[in-house]
Amino acid sequence: MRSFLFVSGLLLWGACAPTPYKDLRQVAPTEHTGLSDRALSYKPSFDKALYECVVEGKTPLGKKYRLSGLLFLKQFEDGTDRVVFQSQMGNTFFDFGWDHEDQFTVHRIIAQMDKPALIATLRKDFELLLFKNLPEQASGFYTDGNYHYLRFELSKGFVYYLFQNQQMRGIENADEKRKVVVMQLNGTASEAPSLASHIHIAHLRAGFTIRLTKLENENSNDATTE
Amino acid sequence: MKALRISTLIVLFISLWQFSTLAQPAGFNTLSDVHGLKTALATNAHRTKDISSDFAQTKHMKLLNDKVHSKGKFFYKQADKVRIEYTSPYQYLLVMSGGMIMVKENGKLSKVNTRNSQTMQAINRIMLDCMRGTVFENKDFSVKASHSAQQYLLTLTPISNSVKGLFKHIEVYINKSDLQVSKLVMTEQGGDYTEMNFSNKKLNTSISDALFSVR
Repeated sequence: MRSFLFVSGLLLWGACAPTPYKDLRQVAPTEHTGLSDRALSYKPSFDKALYECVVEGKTPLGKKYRLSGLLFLKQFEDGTDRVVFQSQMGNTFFDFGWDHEDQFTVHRIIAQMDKPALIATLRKDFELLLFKNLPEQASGFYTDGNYHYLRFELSKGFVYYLFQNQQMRGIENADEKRKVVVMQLNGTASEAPSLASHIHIAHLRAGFTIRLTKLENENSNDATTE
Repeated sequence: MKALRISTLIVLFISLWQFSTLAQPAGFNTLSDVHGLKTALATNAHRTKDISSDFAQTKHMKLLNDKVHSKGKFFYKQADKVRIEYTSPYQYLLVMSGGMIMVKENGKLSKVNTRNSQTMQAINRIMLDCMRGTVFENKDFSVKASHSAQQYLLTLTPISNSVKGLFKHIEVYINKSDLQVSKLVMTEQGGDYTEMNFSNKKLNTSISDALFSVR
């Protein structure tokens, strides 16, 4: 009887558990002046960018870990993209690429990181940031009164791009039950789609975060690269 | 038939000669007195109590046709203390002392488990070997010595499996005038390479132990 009550209680709690985005209100695109429903219109355009990158998390056994390095992103004229993560001392951790049709390739990865689940996780992060392998058109506009949410369906779950005053402020990947990845974006240019200067990525299920800080100096965005 | 064999041998000989020439950087020839160099490096290392210098680092990404630059300060103190301090475009401090490696970035200090960081371990071992004149004793690499008019070049090729995945080879350039390392070039298996150029070098200035204590 006790176990029956316990299981019933769990089921009741599950049925009442808050699902993410249940309070969002769908709105017509016309209410969102300046926001397009085409994925292509948000694709960031840049020559190259260099970020300081810090990865922090906990292993399943609760042991903390931390890895830092430099993340180098480059877009080529033929439509290909590369994302290279390297140590401060220069050694490459991984080198990912996408061709002009968004076909993904691992050009290089160190043995310690060569795990299919990790590669898939990182690949999805970069594809969400760079608007790759998304449907051409959004499936809907929503609002919570504070942010505008642009939703794209994915093969598993969906992604919301969050806008405030027409500037992208965040990216959230979720399924109907819970959020999986939450990205906070700060320092995005307002005039054209660009990469944010501060990006914080929280992997809620996997239990790790990635913090990216753009490296710039007073001369140019790409002064540290050539 | 005999003429064909001779021409084949000539082509083979020319190919091998070209290959051996290409494998050696321009202006460098194989060093015959390796033992003499080993002795000179060991004597010099004994005299070098400490070193402070600037460095400029450039990562060359072959396929991306691009480079990433950084710079900082380098310190060494006999017998096993190294401080590498990146000052631009990022702040990153790495201190090696008494077999420990400590890293400080954005005000956060962490001790590196060298068992899990083979790259750092290998690079720091190389750094120490260069300073102590013990490059030839590093069991992870085979060493080939060559020289030009101004420099010695030690080419380190990995032989241990733990280092093979990290580097294709490492080149250590040493000035003939003062037997000090002027440049390190670490080439990865994919062909990308990182160059560290040392400048403004000062020797035996009694640098403080505090530089190698991170808090």
